[in-house]
Amino acid sequence: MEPYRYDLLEQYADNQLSADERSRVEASLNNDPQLRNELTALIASAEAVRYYGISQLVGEIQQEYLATKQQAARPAVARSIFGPALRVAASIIIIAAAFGVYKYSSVNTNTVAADYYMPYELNRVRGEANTNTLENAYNNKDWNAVISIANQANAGSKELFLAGCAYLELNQPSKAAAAFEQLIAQNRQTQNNYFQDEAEYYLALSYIRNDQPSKAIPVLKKIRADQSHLYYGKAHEASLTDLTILSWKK
Amino acid sequence: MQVFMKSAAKYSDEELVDAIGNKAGMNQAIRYIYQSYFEDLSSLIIHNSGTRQDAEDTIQEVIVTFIDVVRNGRFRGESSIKTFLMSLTRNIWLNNLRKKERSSARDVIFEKQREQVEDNMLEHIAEREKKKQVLLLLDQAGEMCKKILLLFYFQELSMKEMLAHLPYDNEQVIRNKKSKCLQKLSEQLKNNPALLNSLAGIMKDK
Repeated sequence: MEPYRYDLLEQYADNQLSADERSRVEASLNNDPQLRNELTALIASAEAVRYYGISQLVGEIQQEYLATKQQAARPAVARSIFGPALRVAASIIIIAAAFGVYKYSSVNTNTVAADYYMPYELNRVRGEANTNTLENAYNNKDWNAVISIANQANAGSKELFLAGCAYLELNQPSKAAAAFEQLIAQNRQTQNNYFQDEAEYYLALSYIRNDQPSKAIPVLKKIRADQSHLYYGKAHEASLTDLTILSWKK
Repeated sequence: MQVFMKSAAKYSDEELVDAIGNKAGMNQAIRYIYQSYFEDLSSLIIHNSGTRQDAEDTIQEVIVTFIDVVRNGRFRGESSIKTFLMSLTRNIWLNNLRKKERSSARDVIFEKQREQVEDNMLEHIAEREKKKQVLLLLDQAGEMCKKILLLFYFQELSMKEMLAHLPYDNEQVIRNKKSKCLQKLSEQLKNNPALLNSLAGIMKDK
């Protein structure tokens, strides 16, 4: 097909032509089955992209829904077992003080990191083969391959984020933090929001794992103040007090 | 369910359909669907030979299909959204069971749940199967093409707005890239005439 005709047809499919231009294209379409075939393929392609976008968005929201549902279920069990005991304990100041002492001595980097940790599951449309090399490596837990892909030139938000997660899995929190910081800086520069919420939460987690609680606190406070943040629920679930105690111990 | 409890607004069926059709309201609308219907849909599958994982997989497909049906103006509102989603779940789960060849369980659903609230329910499911095939072609177009096409067709950004999300310096470069990417996808589709013809049929019906 000649390039100028293709451009015109694409603009027709995208609804970007004036009424006159549309009429001209429609006249050609009436007389040219090949052109109609081209148009069908263009419209179906655009439609498939929209469908893909919906699939991704629903997948993300489902993951978010299931995570928050799981989190909500946990304290309910604890309340049913310990509820009465806690009510009694709350009335006895001495016990509360003893609890404070216990808390101060028992809180450590590992317990706090475990409270906040949630392995990142790469969202994909279930049952559909829409993974690429990076996603395959991540899903196969081939962390070194994930990092190697991200180290190539022009790493985007997704590559940097998954590399950060891979470093966390390899227990290299300082490198994980560097990857998440780079992603956030890159997003700031390009005014992009890809993986921004994820990077912020996992950056805080990397700081905790790296024994830098004072750097994690402001990041978590920011997440806890934003109801639309993807990790709002998770950031509220874990205790900022524990993190503060950790920072006092430093 | 803190995020959902605090952020999901309440909608009537009509408001929910409007919100799905509106770019700014879609995320909240999908959250509302999960908050309001996930448990019922999940029970339907679990009580019909499905596991929790089956339920999660199927519900994701159901909600994607429902959003797609609404966005394409094909939700006729002859039944409530809940009834529509239940019927869609039943049909998609039945389809998945058929693929898994769990015939005895399939028969139970067939006999007990025969009623069909939307006569074109099967068309929606067939359409979904075709679109899933095109998604495989989209994967072959490469990550950058996928990103460019998503920004344009799904996020509905202008070329100028797309500049902020892409490593290119001017709108014309993005316009050319977008055009090439769409052409690439469209060529792949033309190489599969059977799929293209069935998609053409779907588009004619709209």
